[in-house]
Amino acid sequence: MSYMKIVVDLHIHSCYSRASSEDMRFQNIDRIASMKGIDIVGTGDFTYPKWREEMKKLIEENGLYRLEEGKTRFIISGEVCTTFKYKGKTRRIHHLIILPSIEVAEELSNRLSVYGDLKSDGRPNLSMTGAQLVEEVMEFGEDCMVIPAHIWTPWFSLFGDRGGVDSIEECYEDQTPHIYAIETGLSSDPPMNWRVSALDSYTLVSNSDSHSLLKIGREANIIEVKELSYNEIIKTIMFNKCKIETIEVDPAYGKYHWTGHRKCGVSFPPKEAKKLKGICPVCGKKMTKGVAERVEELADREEGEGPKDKQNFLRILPLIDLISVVLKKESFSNEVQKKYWEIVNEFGSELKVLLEEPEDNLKKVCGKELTELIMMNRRNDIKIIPGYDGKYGEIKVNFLIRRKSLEDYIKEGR
Amino acid sequence: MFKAVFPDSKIWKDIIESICALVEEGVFVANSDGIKLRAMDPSRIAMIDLDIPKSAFEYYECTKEEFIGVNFDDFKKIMKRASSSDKLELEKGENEARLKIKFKGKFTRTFSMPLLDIGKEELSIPNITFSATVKLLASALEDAIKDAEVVSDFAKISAEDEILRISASGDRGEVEVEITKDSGELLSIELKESVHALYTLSYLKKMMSAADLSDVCILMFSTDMPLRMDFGLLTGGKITYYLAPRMEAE
Repeated sequence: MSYMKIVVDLHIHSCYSRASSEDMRFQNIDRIASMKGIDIVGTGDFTYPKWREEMKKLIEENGLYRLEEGKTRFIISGEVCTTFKYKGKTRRIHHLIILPSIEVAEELSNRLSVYGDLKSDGRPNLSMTGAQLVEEVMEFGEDCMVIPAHIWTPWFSLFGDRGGVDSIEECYEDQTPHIYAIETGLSSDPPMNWRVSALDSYTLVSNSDSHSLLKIGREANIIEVKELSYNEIIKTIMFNKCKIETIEVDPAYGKYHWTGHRKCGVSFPPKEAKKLKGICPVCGKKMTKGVAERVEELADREEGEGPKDKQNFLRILPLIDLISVVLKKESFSNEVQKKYWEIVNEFGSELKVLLEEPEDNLKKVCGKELTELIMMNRRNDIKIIPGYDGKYGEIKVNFLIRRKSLEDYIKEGR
Repeated sequence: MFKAVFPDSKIWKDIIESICALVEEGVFVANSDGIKLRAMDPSRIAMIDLDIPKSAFEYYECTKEEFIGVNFDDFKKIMKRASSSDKLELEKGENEARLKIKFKGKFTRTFSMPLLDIGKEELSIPNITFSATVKLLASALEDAIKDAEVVSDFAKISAEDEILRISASGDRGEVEVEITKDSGELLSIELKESVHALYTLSYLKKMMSAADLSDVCILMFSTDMPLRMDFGLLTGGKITYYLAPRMEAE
């Protein structure tokens, strides 16, 4: 049987999660995922009873689910936050859970309801350790999966500076062998994760963690599978990481890439932040430590180094953000969204526009300027002003950057 | 001891303006062969390489190598005082920190300009094999640059099939200028392959200030590589500019 490539976004949220869009419902998610070129999307929020009721209406096929007329397959998933004390400090860590069926989701939810109020939020807070969570999940079989979510984000993550730990074992203890994959999050990319040799054995996955329709698939995974089934996807993640290529945004685009203080509008790369000892030079308060600085703290490899069996990855920014730059309007504005749909409807999917469609074809629909930006995006030539302290990175308005100075050419020619 | 007499102060004025367009300060190196200057603009994007041989001067004497550090803005102001028929005499005594600038016409006017004690920067020129060499009228290039400036901040220069094309596009619109042999503006074109690259118009415009010195200029470039622009001086000697490209997709 030959392999096929599928695009999978395992981590999104339903309309029942805090700060989620009302539009995050199956019909809409199915439609948008299909237009974006995403084959499989996590259901998100399986612990939330009302959402589970909607999940039960889906049609099951090989451990994956779909709407009756839908194209997109759904994989049962949800995110929970575990709160526990470790070395005298409170730790709050987010975990993504992937499950083989709605029945397991139902039973596991019953078990987890002991640790917290599952009706309070699509992403519930549970008073338990990471190890306890994995133990509970594993009760339902080895084909269930716990993936530490967006592992470097300052708040609510495995290695987060505020409330995280310094190693996978500190969170999952004796249950660590059940952890096969880690989610890189928007603010880090594979090269940053490769710098920590303790992560070498784990599969890197990237997901959107989207709370709104248009952000679905902004990060995702291209997985080579022999068949479209839950087991095939899970086994590939567990044991065949070379078959997984991640789709990443530039980590500078993420909300926590650099260290900074949003209120004072200051941000710094790791070395400068370290010199400032994490103190905001404007107001003297503690800055939010960015992912880049946190990676630097835990790294035991130099920049550019990594394991031998590196996974491939693509670095690409979402189309909506490119349109926003060209039209000089916010990405949620009607004008930008209208243009987005016009382009995606013409070419069939966002990923096709971003990765495949020939330049000449794009020009006819996108216009010259946007086409140029899309081509720059493919070559990773777009400059981003790094995000910090909850502020997304910005595509530099004057994005027409010069690659090299004349001095660089002189040096090369010597 | 350095002393040189230039037959036409207007030409020297244009030379100083061509330098001034890119750099504020620089060091002339004078030796027995003539005067050279190589300097990079502050943003390290463009470079000027000036070479005026001894033969370009009516009189030339340089007993030992002299480094003459100059503020070109100041030099330009002095040169503006020259009349078109004036001869120019430059003089610097050994160990003197001033340059004497004499305009000799109906009467003789002598300016004395303090020299700058700035270290001479060791600069190499980019070692590039160019795929396109295009000789054209400087005025045609100047016009094309002005056209491109109407719509954008940068221009794509491309050459293929005996056509030099300067195009630009932006929010303000699009423009494309074709310079061909038919019009007599394109004098020669040698191509190893079709080439194109993008360059910042503000720099190209600055470089065109040397168009006052020569009716003809030679463009050399390759795809996404620095541009070289040569202007031969009527007196002998040459001004060469180099400019780093901008990104392909621009």
